[in-house]
Amino acid sequence: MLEGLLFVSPWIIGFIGFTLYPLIYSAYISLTRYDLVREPVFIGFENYRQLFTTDPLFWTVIGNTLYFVFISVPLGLIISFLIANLLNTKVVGRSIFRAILYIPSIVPAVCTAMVWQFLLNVQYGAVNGILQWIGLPAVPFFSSPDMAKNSLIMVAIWSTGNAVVVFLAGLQDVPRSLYEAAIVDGANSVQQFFNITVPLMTPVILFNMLMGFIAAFQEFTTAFLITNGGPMNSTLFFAVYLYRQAFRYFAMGKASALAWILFIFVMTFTVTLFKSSARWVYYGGEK
Amino acid sequence: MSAQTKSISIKSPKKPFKFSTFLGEFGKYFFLILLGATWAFPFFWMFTSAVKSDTQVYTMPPVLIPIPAQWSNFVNAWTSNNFNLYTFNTIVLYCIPVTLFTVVSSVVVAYGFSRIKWPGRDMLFTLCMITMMIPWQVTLVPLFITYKKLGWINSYLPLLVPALFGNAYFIFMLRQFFLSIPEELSDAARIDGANEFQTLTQIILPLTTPALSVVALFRFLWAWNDFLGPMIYVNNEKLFPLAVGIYRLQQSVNSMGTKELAYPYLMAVSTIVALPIILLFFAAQRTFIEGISLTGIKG
Repeated sequence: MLEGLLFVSPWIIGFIGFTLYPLIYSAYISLTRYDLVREPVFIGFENYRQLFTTDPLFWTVIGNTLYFVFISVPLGLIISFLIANLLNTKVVGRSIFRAILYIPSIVPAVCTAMVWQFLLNVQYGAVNGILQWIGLPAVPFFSSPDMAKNSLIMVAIWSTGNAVVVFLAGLQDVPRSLYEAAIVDGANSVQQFFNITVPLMTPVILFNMLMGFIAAFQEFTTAFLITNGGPMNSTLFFAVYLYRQAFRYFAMGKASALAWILFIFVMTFTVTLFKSSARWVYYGGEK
Repeated sequence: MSAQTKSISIKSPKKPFKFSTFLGEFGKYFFLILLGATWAFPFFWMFTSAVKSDTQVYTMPPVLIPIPAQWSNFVNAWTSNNFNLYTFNTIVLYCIPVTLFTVVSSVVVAYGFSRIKWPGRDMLFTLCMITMMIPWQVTLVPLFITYKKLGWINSYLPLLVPALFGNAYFIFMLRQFFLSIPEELSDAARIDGANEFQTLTQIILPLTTPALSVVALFRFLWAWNDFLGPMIYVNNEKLFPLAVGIYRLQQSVNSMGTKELAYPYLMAVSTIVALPIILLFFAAQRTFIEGISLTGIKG
């Protein structure tokens, strides 16, 4: 008993110091007006009330974030699942394709943000250069409010290669005998995909889905570096707005209130997803 | 006679040529190559733009391969800013200590969560897993205030000290590895009079070196890539890591409009900073793939 606790004690101390204490502290700050210079002033739920009722950007931020999350994550999942299935067939050079897809997810986001910003630049970006060269109009990828979110979704999908690797590893664990039996029964490849591959992969799909959603709700670096919320606040995502409140306006109370709204939302969403998984995730026959 | 049977025996396992199969195979590779080319294009563009001259950058239609290549951009971009110092800061002040701290602390905690039985263990482990779901934004403000009071701003302490207390993600990963080792090995060590610490260092760790390299590799990579952490806590230019250095370069480019060689320089520096990671991936491909496959599958 004591030895076990002793080994785990670094984590317990860390949990209290770097998670539990800041959580409580943050809940308190969210109820105050605090600019780091003057003492915090207790104002009750005023920050929350202002955010939900008078803040001109709050609902824009919510809308932007939900748009980004609920398009980039499902789309990313479908694309990476299909690619993984394609790579799971007999492919010469599979590891090269896997490497090309995976590398964008491990190189520094700062570097890839720089290249995407340049690549999709409306005046001298390569993509627009090619479009104009073949006679199409230039697309203002990051400079138009209608396109900017979609362009960031594109960049996000480009860097979800780790999901492909996880799917591919999962696919290799699906017993070959199931497919052989299905072929004997006369199932075609589409039927095999929907009746064997998809059900057996649901645990991995759930894992990638959870990871994808949690990361997407907190999307920061790429959006901050490429568009920094603009144009016209169209890419002002939750994390970018929170950062701005905390470190540009030093509105620590408001930033903490935002953080708690995000926290409660993400927690509720994750728990709901997890609970729903009992109905659609297949765990090797045990019911 | 014998030659004839031989030729038959080679031919028979081959499937008869079917046009639809051929078409399918052709379509598959055509699609995969197109996909791979699209995925790799930003890297190609980053590299080729790095060695362009200003005229090559702004020419339309875009120059795919710059001739002549201006290789001096790499050296000039690097030395016109303090990137040597930033590299030193990234590796010595951040990557190495944080990797070391994370590996040691996570190993110890993961051991307590897997190889020793004690009441309340699984409950605490569940709590540890739940902490992974807490968005970093929630603890950001209070931790910033606390570090400010402690005088830790403008140092790497806010990024290093938490690593001494284990990281939930790596604790989970290492626990999975530790659980796969037969309990009999620990029992035998205990019978021989080894305490838990000796069992860990002499029995378990030698068997889990691949797991340790996975943790070390990923933690090093995260620190190398980390932008937000240093941007919040490290404002002294003398202490900037590479990621913040690139950001500052981007800011100066944007504020001065189209400064001479602005984009080639930005691309040159990005190439130099991304390249070690790409090389690291090819050098340690198996460790990478095993690491992320394990967390995804066995979880």
